[in-house]
Amino acid sequence: MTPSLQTKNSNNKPFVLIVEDNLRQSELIASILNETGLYQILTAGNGEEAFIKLADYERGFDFLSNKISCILLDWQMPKMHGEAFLRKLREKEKRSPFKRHIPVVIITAYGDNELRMIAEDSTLGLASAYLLKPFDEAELLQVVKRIVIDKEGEIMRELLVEQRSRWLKEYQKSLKE
Amino acid sequence: MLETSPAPIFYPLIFLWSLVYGATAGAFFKLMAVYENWIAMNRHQIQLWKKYPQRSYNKYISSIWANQIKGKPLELAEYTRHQIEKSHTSEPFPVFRLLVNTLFMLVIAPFMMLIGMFQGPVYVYRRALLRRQQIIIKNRQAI
Repeated sequence: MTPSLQTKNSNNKPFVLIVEDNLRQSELIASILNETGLYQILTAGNGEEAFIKLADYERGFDFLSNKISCILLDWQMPKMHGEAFLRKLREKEKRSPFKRHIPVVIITAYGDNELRMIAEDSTLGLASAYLLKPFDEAELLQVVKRIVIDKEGEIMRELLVEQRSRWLKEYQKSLKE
Repeated sequence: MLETSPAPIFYPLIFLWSLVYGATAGAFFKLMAVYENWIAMNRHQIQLWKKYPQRSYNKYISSIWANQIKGKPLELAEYTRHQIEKSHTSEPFPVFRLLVNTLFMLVIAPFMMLIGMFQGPVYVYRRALLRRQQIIIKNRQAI
């Protein structure tokens, strides 16, 4: 299991979990986030490790929301890939409906629409944002800030749903024409 | 210490502990979960109203519009919307939604506590068993 990258005097800072199989990429994201000094960074190499991390950081018999405020999820991973992880996570959350969803940001090199549709699918509980590799540092920081500091994960999800339904309508319209 | 104790001591003790601690803490944590959700839902409503006023306003107008055009001829739909937009130039603070959220949370809080009293002991018991299993496996590996 990859080590946690925690800074000193960071007791009150929110946790961000990076789920990424590429160690260099994971370290890069961690260093970008660490530079801000706003977050405590945790890392996992795949979906299975991520679930172990989530179990370690659960609160109040798992009735309360997890200590991890945001998950940065790579889509292509060994053992348990991004989609399987997201599906399992949302299924687990569905079982206790009175618990907040953990916001997930998908990070992938694949920008094709089909993959994006899966990521934003409402049956998966949706991701809050979708970042394409190579992503801009400022973009990553802004997305994480909106989710963790401004607590806008839920709104971002709603906006993604609307954006998706608009895109679908336009797509169906273009097909008819 | 308890986890490594022999089975005849461990099981009755952990069963008792799960009932006492699990039920009390389970009810408390469920109550906390209700509070946490109440805060999150209200924050969500306020954020929508404050940070996304145009989107929130459009939804507000649409909800009034949907109510008013019921039973009216289709030709009047656009005119009605225009009239609503004229009479409601901004969306008022969502007091009603916050109030409904609060009432809803107050109603479900006792039921959630009850659920917590049942789920709490199960959680504590399972965790204790898991910990015991892990310790036994570790000890076996050490030997």
